[in-house]
Amino acid sequence: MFNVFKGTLLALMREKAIFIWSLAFPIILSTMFVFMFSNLDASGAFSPIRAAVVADARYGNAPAFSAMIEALSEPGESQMLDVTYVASEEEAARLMRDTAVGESSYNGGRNAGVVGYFAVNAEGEPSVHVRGGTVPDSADNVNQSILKAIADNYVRGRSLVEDVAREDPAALADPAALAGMLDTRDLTEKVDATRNPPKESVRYYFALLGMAALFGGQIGMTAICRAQPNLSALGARRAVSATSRTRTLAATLCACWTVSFACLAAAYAYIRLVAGVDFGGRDAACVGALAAAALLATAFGTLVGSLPKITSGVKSGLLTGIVCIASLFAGLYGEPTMKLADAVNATVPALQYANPATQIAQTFYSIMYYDTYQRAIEHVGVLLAMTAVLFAVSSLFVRRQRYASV
Amino acid sequence: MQVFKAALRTVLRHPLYLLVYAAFLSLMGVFMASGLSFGGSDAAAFVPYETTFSIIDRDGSDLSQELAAYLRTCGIEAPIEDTRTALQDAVAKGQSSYVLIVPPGFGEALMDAARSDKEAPALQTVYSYYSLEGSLMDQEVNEYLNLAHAYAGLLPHAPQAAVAQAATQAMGTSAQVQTVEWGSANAGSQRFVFYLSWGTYTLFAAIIVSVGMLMGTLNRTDLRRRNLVSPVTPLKYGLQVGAASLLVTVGVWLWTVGVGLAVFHESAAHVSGTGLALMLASSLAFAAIPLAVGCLLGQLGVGEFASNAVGNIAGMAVSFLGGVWVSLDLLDPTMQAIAHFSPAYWYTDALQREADLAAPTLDALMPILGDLGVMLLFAAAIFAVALVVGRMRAQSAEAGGNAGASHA
Repeated sequence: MFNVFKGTLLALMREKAIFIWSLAFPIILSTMFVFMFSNLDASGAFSPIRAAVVADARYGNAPAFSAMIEALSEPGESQMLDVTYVASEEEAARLMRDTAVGESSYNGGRNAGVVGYFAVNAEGEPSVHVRGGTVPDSADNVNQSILKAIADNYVRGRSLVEDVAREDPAALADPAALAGMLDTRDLTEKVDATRNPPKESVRYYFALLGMAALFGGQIGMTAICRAQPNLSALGARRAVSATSRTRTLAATLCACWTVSFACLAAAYAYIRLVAGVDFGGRDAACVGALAAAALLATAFGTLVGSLPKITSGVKSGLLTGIVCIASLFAGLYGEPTMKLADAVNATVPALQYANPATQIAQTFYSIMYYDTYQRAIEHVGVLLAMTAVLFAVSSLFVRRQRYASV
Repeated sequence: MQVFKAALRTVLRHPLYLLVYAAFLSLMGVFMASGLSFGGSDAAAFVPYETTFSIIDRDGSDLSQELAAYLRTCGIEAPIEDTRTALQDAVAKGQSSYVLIVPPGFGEALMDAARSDKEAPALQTVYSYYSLEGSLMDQEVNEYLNLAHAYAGLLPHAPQAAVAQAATQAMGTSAQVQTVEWGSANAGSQRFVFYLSWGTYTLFAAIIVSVGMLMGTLNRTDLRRRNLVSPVTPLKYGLQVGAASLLVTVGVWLWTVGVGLAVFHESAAHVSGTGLALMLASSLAFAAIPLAVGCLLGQLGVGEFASNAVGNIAGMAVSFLGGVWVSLDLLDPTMQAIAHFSPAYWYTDALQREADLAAPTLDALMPILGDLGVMLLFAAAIFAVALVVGRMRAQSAEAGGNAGASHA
């Protein structure tokens, strides 16, 4: 049995083509990700919003509003606005137009353009003017909404004073007390709930590990095709050897798992050390998750490899297709697909349990973000259950087969 | 025509590749383009962003309930259980961008603070991936609480329910918002543009795999030796193989743009006639590049397995460099410079210009023709390399060419 293991291992190591998917692919893709997502986390992070303010005579006659704008523009941790003062609305509109096209796009965009301006109307009320055609889910849209909220805040303060004046005019008798009450207080406190702060870019590496693990199924598929008497001459010779079929298959699968795990571990080391992705200091748990993912990949490859009456080329295409579909719903292909995957998983949560790529990605989520390993163990349990099902179905194809001719 | 038919049969004998790469990736593009949000018309009314939020209300007071009701009007609530695991689930999986935790007794504590000059209590908040979205919701929460605090202080005898209702009523007042038209890109066509941009992956993967496999199969040494001694001249043989490759390319291109036009015809209708014709021409010009890469792989003698891998990985890399995965604005300047060496960059640039093309003036057409020219140059350069490689391979000792004769 050990000889079969050793022989299969050597044969697989000499098959350079399988390393394209199992090793080169995750390394190439993670290198791409390093460049692709280097600015992603910063783009979703809040930074003072660039806005224009029409500083005309009306603005000068609204001291409370101008004081609010100045307070929100003061440099510091609570700075909300990065204001440019202009003389007229035309100048403000020109400043917005000069913001480069494409900074508000469906797949992200730099959170840096002037997307709106404030002006005070003849009644002394502030109004917000926003650039039209902004993509609804973009950073620009959020920034415009915050500008609106700032102007709303001022208008609501005035509304409050009018309400109180109607209810109890005496309450407004003391201007100092009124000003104290209208002072803006920070009544919320940001806290962390997860073991590590959530980072958008890391999600893509999780999805990548899911895809890379499943592509490791090519190893199992190749090995099983070589072990099947009707698919290769080597398989036919091995079928008549002295070693029992069960022992041959067990040793073959062990060799597949070893190669698959080694490739995944190398890809993980690359992501961890070269790409610099921090998995929250739980590397041992991550390696354990990789071992489970490699086992699932081996089972997946075994099932595809053992499908009867299909050539190895077709099997390879089939495996590629399934992995691409699974990876789509794990959110691998950039921001549009990540949003799509989130939406699908929120709408039909049960689908996550049918998608091995999602389960592998979520195992890494759980390791990185949760205090305990409970969720990670649950996900590994799902991976092992999937593995058992795949092996069980494969066994129907590889056991007790009779061949008319080999 | 025998060679032509045999070449086509080679591709058709592997329908799974076309099914996976042409059909499936096109449908994936349809799926994504349908689900994405694109900018509306310049003149459309402003619609505020809706943050997905959760609220864990341990207080249950009038104030906390009114606050939760108000937040539902300006965001999308994702209900969560009051457990640490559920909270971590919501944040780590991005189910909720902003979680607000209201502790027991908060309503009363805020009322007391407003009426006795005490420090007002603060609510705990948890942000998910995008602190920008969290900041928006936090602004709303703070405004509401500040208004409630002010009402409670100015109307010392008002009960908590009245204060909460007054705050909600005040939050209903809004500043005037006007949309400034600024002559932005043709937003209606963006769905179709996205679909065609995603097509970089579809075309690259499907054509490289199919043509690479076709060429690789026909360039096997023994088969090539047999064909060399056949009565078909090398020129006719090459032309027939080329015609079959071209037919596969055109087939995949037709399928890709056909699906796009069928599904997104409303979006495509926003493009001018000239613009649409140029979009299709750009798409075909782009398809010539994977055709050339497929030829190169075939001449290099790359097998089916490796063609599959190269097609898929190159498709991903090229579409990434075209800004399909993540906006090119987000990449660092070095990467943006490198993107210029990718054909997808010129393709997506051409698509955007063509979508925005109002009138076919010389000024508007020149940059588009420039993009088309660059794409065709990419194809020509790769094809030239394929020809050289093919020539060298034909003369190699392995293929029984001149080098083989000199060894003999």
